[in-house]
This record gives sequence, C-alpha cells and structure tokens, in this order.
Amino acid sequence: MNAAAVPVTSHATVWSIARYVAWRNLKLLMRSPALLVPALLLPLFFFIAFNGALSSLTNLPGFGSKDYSAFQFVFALMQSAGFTGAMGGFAMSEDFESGFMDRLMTTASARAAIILGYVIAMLGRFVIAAIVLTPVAYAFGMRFHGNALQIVGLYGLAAVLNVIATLWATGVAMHVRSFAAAPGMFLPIFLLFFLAPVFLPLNELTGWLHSVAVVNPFTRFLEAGRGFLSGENTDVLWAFGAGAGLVVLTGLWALKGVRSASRG
Amino acid sequence: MKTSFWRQLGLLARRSVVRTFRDPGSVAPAMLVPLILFVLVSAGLEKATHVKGFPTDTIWTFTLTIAFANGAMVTVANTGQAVATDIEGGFINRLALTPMRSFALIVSQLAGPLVLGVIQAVVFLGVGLAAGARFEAGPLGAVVLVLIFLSAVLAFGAFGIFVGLRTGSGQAVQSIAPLMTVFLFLSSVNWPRNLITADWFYWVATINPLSYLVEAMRSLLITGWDKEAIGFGLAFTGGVLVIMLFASAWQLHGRLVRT
Amino acid sequence: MAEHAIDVEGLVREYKKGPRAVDGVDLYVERGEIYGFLGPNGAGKSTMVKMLVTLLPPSGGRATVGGFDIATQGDQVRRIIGVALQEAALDPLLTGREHLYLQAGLNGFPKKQAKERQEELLERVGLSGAGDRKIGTYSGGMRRRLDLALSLVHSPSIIFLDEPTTGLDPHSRNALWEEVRRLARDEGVTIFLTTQYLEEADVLARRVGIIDHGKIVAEGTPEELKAQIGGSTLEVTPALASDRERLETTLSRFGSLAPTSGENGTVGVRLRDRGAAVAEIVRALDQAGVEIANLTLRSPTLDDVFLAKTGRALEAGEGEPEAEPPAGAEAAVVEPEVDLRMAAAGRSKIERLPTAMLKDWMAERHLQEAIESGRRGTPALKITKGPLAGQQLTVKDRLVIGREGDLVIADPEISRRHCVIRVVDGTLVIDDLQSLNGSWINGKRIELPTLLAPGDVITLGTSAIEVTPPPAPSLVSGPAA
Repeated sequence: MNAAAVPVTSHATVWSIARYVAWRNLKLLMRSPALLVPALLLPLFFFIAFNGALSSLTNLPGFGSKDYSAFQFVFALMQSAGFTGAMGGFAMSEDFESGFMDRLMTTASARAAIILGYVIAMLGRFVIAAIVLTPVAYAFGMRFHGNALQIVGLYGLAAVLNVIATLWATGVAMHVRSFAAAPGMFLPIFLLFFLAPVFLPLNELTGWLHSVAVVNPFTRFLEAGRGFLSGENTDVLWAFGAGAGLVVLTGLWALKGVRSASRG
Repeated sequence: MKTSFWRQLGLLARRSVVRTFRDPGSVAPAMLVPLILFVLVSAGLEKATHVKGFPTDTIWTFTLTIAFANGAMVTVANTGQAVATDIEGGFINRLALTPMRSFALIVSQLAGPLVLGVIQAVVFLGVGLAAGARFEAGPLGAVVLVLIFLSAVLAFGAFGIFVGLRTGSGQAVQSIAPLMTVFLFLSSVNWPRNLITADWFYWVATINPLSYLVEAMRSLLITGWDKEAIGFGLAFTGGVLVIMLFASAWQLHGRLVRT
Repeated sequence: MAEHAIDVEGLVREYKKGPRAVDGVDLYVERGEIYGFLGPNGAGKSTMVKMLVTLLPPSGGRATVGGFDIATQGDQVRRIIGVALQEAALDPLLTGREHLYLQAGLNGFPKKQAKERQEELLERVGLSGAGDRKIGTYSGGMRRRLDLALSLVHSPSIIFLDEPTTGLDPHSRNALWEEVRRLARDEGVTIFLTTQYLEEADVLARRVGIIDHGKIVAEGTPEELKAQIGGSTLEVTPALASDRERLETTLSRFGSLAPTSGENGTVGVRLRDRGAAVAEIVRALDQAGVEIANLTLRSPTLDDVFLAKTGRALEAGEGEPEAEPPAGAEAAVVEPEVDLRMAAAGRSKIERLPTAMLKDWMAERHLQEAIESGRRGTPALKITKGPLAGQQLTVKDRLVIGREGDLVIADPEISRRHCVIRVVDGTLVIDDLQSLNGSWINGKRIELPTLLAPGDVITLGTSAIEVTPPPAPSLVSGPAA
C-alpha cells in the first residue's frame, strides 16, 4: 500500500484525535448494537441466575443485608463495566488486524490520544449498558437503599472500573497487536471478578478464596458498591484509592503499549 | 466395492477422534472451563453448607456436578462446529459422492467427543476427589456418574450435530453454544431445588430438564442410589440423543440432495 | 444414449425465483475423450457439473453418465465417477495420507489395499513427501493435486474436474494438465473439464462446448470452432486519434469490424482472406493518409468464437457468481495502480483519517447522500487506466464510498485489506488495488497477476463489487456483421 498517497498533516490535536476515535467506536456500536451483547448479556444472565438460585444465602447469620438482588446487582454492574472495558481491547485488536490502527498511528501526532479515545468510547458504551441493566435488575427486585450521592458513588465507581479495564485491555492490544490477545485481555478481568466475594460477603468467605479476595482490589469495588447501594459507606476510601492507583498503573501499562506499538 | 455400515462408521469415527484432538479449540475449553467453574463456585459457596437444610457438609461434593454438566455442554460447540466446517468447506459433498451412509456420518461425529468425554471424566473425578468430594453411592456410584455424563455427552453432541446441519454455519453454532450455559445456570446446578426461595426461579429450575440431569449425577454423590433420580437423568439424555439423531438424519437428508 | 460416456438431453436447472442456470443443454462426451466445458463466470458450468455428478437434481431433461441415469441411478453413477469440485473440499486437520485412506475405505477398499492405493496415488501426484502433513499447511497447488488423487481413488472411468487450475501457478497448472492428458491417453478415462480459461480448453480438450447464460452456444473441436470464425483479425492503432473514422472506413473494405479494447483509437477488422490482405491494407491506409502507430495480426481464438456467438468477449459474462477471477492463466496483469473512478457510492467500512476528516464533520451527511445515490443503482466505479480502461464496476448490495483521504478498509471482522481513496486529476480513485493481492474472494485466494474481467466479483471486506462491461463499446459491430 502506498502510504504516501495519504495527505498527512499535523493539525490534529490530542482532543481531536481522541474525539475522532471515540466517535468512530460509538458509531460502530450504532451500526452493530450486537457489540454490546457480551458486556450486557453475560452480567445480566449471571445476575438472574445467581439472584434466583442463591437468595436463601441471606439466611446465613453473617450475611447482613437481606436484599440479595441488590447484592448481586452490584456484581453485575461492575462486571458490565469491566467487560465493556475488555471489549475496548477487542476493538483495538481488530483495528490492528485491519491495518486501521497502523494508519492511525502514523497520522496521529499524539498517540496516547488514541487510548484516550477508546477510554471515552468504552465509557459511553458502559453508560448504555448500565441504562439497560438497571431497570432489568429493578424488575427482578433490586432496590436502592442509599441516597442520591451514594448512587452517584456506585455508578462512579463502576465507571472508574470501566476505565481501568479499558486501559488494561488496550494496553494488551497495543503490546500484542493481534486478536490472539483477546483471552489475555478478558481472562484476567474475569478471574479477578470471580476471585472476589461474588456469592457471599467477604467476611463469609473461607479458605484460600478469602485470602485471595482480601488482597483482590476488585473486592474493594464490590464491597464499596454494595455499601453505597445499601446506604452504608463501606470501604469507600479504599475503593476509590485502589481505583486511582489502578488507573495510574493501567494507564502506564497502556502508554508502554503505545510506545511498543510505535516501535513496531 | 461395497463397504459395510460398521466399516464406514469406524473410518468416520476415527476421523472424528483425530480431528477432535488436533483442534486445540476442542480440547482446551472442554477441560479447563468446567474445572474453573467448579473451583470458583465451590470456593465462593463454601459456607453455603451452613444454610439450614443444605444436603451435604462438603461443598465440593455438591458442586462436582457443575464440572460434569458444563463439560458435557461443551460438546454442543464441538460437534456443531465440526459439522458446520464440513458443510462450509464442501467436505460433506466429497463424502456424499462416496457410498457413505448418512447415518454413519452422523453417529461417527460423536466418537471424538466421546473419547474426549472419558478423559474429561477422569480429570474431573480426580480433581473433585482430591478437593474433598465424596460419593455416597461408593466407587460404583462414581462409575455410574461417569456413564450418565457420557450419555449427556452423546445427547448434547447429537444436539450440536443437529444445530450444525440445520444452520450450516460455524458462526451460528458458536452463538448458540453459550446459550447452553445459560440453560444450565437456570437449573438447580448451583443450588438444591428445595432451598430455592425465589418462586419464579424454582419454577424455571423445575421445568428445566437440565435440573434432572444434574440431580441424577448429584444423587450418587449425596443421596446414594436414588433410582428415580438416575432414571430421570438417563431418560432425559436418552430422549435427547434419540430425538436429535433422528432430527439430524432428517436434516442431513435435506442437505445431501444427491439423487 | 448409452454409447457415450456422457449423454445429456435438454437438461435444465431452475432455481426458485431465479433464472435458469442451465437451460436445455444437449451434449455428449465420447468414452476416453477430454471434453472442455468453457464459459464465463456464472454461465452455468458448475451447476451443470453438480447435476451430472448427482449432487443437484435436475429440474428437467435427462442425462446419463456411464449409461446410468443421473436422476434415478445416483448410486451407480457415483460408483463410476471421480469428482474434483471447484472448492478443493479438504479437511484442514487431516493429513494427505489420512484423506486418501478415508476415501479408499469409504469406497470399499480393505485396509491393506487402502494403504497401497493411498501410497500409489500420493506418489503419482507427487505428494509422498508431504503425505503426513496436515492439509492446513498445503499450498493451493498441493491441495488441487490431492483433490485429483482423491477423485482417482476408486479408479473411476469418468472424471469431472470443475475449474481444476483456478488459482494455480503456471508450474502447478502444467503438472495438472499433464496428469489429465495422461489419464485420458494411458488409462482411457473420460474427462469432463470445466474451465473459464481459453488456453486450457484449447490445449487439453478434444472437443469444446461453450456455455453462456445456461445454453450451449457452440460445440466442436477447437479447430472447427475457430474455422467457423473465418480469417484472422488485424488490429490497427492510428498515430493520430482523429484518424479513427478514416481508419474504420478503410478497414471495413477488407472485412467486418471486430471489437477491440478501443484504447488509443485501435480498430480491428476480421479479415475475409487470412493474412494475404495485410499488405493491401497497409497500402490502402497509406493512400487514405492514415499514419499507423501499431499493427497486430491475430489468429482466431476461442475467445473470438465466444464473441462471434454471443456478441461479447468471454470475460464479459454475467449471471450466477459461481467462479472467481482467474489467477495466472492467460490473465493480463492488473497494474498496481489500476484506477477506479468513483461516480456514486454506498456503504462499506470507510474510515476517516483524522487529518482529513476532523476538519469536516459534515462529511457524514455527504456519505449518507451518496449511499442513497448508490442505492438508486448508479454505476459506482469506473476503471480509468490500465488494460481494462473503460470498464465499469457496479457495486452490489453494499457499496463503497469515500472522499479523499478516506481509508476504505475491509470489514475488520472479515478481512484484513484496505486501500486509500485519493484524488487524481479531480476524480476520486481507490488507490493501490495491489492490496487485494492475497485477499480471499468468495473463498478463493486472489493472487496477482489477476485480470479483473466483467462478471468477476471482487470483494473489499463486505463490499461485493461486480465488474460489468462498458455500457457502450466503441466498436459495436460483431464479426458476423
């Protein structure tokens, strides 16, 4: 392909490139709404199955809340945020395989802006997923017990998780530049989610899973989110602190990926 | 020269086994996904044995069936994909031009998953027993559980063949296969039916035939020799197998319009 | 009917709500004969083969293969035929040996004999060394050779080869031709060979049937068919384009005008008297004051036969997209810079580069308008340079549109190809068709040199683009005129 055929100018700013990348990814979503399915259907399905089957777990003396729907909704919402982020990595891998990313890399003066574009797009996708997920959960009995600020806190926390997952997955995509990296983006997120207090609160976990869950940062997100929903501020500082730390770490990972991709 | 049905079956079955084990996409998910589910659900629900009325005090005994049930369901994707690939690549036309009997082609597709199923069963049993699962029905119970599992492998395999022949598309098969996991999770696989408090879910799990497959296998672990449960389980897998084999034969007849 | 290896009477295949793919074909093939079934894409060749090998029931007419009726005696037909269909249908996870063993076993060979046959055929097609490799690692030529070996396993007396050399390099093609010749010569095997390559039919076949729009338009030995056309064709290119009219007038005195590429004002004439008139023509042109830039004398080809019978060049067929662009054989090389002029357009994956498009967010509206325009059926693309200049591309179903700087990319879910739109002399062109090299088009890998011919369907990702003939050729008079 004759790259010289493309007029290359350097007028594009970080924001304009990020906006372009985000616009393009959201446009793709509008053309193919099915792209949202994995990040929406899987959490929804887990929510329905776990909520329906396991609600009698609230009878355990140490469980605390009796609203198992709310307990599981937080997990579903966080899953949706994480899986949507992983989809950002998938999208970028496809762009690498189609050659589009190569061209974007050669024309974008500030390449980190490409990552920013994906982050914005995946946040947009997550918002759409959350808008669908919340009323369905409500129909299955989930109720908000927290105040407005706490609700904002819950969704804000999920958004932070979404950013972390996107940075992680796009970082992997930038390093590997092939769709073969898809399991590497998704599996760590999936495992992190299920090595946390999924069915029972942290204090009710036992054995090795408890040990792992205690150090699993995702546990902080779940516990704080469940606290917000039930109206109790639990682990809030821990969660946002872990969130900020992970944003920085995954951000550095993504930037390292950009450098790796730039070297080719 | 004429070839007997059994010789044809043998040749095509050999091909099915070879294909299955040469395709990493068949073996790895069939072994790993069920085990991961088994370990994660067991660890997450360990304290569930403290719930009043829970049928066993060892969660691994209760959850071992998750590995077996999920392991059987992976077969849908494996056989469906194999058939769809043959259709998409035109290999089925090549076979159609030989004196091959249609039924031999269908039944032979189950050979690979069946051999894989035996390996899955050994691994699942080994991991389960090592983790602490115990059989109320004793060692013979373990053998019967494996037999029920293998009957499920055949039943779901036949369903996969039907889907593959019906759609003729690997993509369609891959999009249908995950639905099987949805059906599994909407059964009593994660929780005993008598302890389900949500009425709607109890109803869903009761009409979901997968509950009876799960309960047949679980009965050998928890209750001992529950003939009724085993009977229901085998009736389900046997019924699905027979119906799907005939449905597949019908589909193949429509697809092979050779004169 | 049974005297011939293949006898066909009024064979018809009708698709639901579609045209007749095969429309009352009559033909016969003698025992031990190589019969070439020639036709452009979509002419009905593959449909015909599928009926004859019992994979597709005919809608009407009747045919026997080896004396057995294809509609009622399918089992018997299959026992005596070998088939290599267009898609070399092989299992990528099996090895060459395993394929042959399976095929031999299904055809009733006992284990020992199956092994012997497997080795014998691997040897014959030169795949002994690669017999234990999985098919996924085979090249296109190796697949075709294995396909041929598989069709020979049960020593059939009649073999059907559906476009056996499509996609092969010249070396592999020659090797396959030699094997086909050997089968007919040494073993007396009847071979029914479909092809869209004139050279292949000319070189291999004792008799040729030319099919177009489902009907046989000519049949006979290549020599007989060419003789029907008459003399050679003389093509003259004037030094001055303005001399074209005088050139036509002068040439028409020596025979009927024949279509040419029309490039640089070239005019062709089919000579009544082979060769002898050339000197006379040169003198006449000199007298008429026409300065000659180039002059070519061509003997008649099967393409001329096709042209004479249908009024179109062989590559100008339309219909069911049953075959793909030829690669290799007698194909003109598509220059890397074949230009496609965009007149109207439609939908594909158009990716806008930030540098080009961030300045103009209104482009989306432009895109939508053009999509609508494309849907109204306006021819979409025009080749403006290269050997196929003047031909139009009609974009079917999903269309391509773009503006300068747009990156037309193949659907990332399907393909990996892309090219860039740029402006040349005020028109939009898709740059670098070379990037299609190595693409998979309708299940076939495209390898340059490739001739884009009318009737071919190329695919840019999800966009299917059909090449159609120019609406008004510069020379409309057929050779029979």
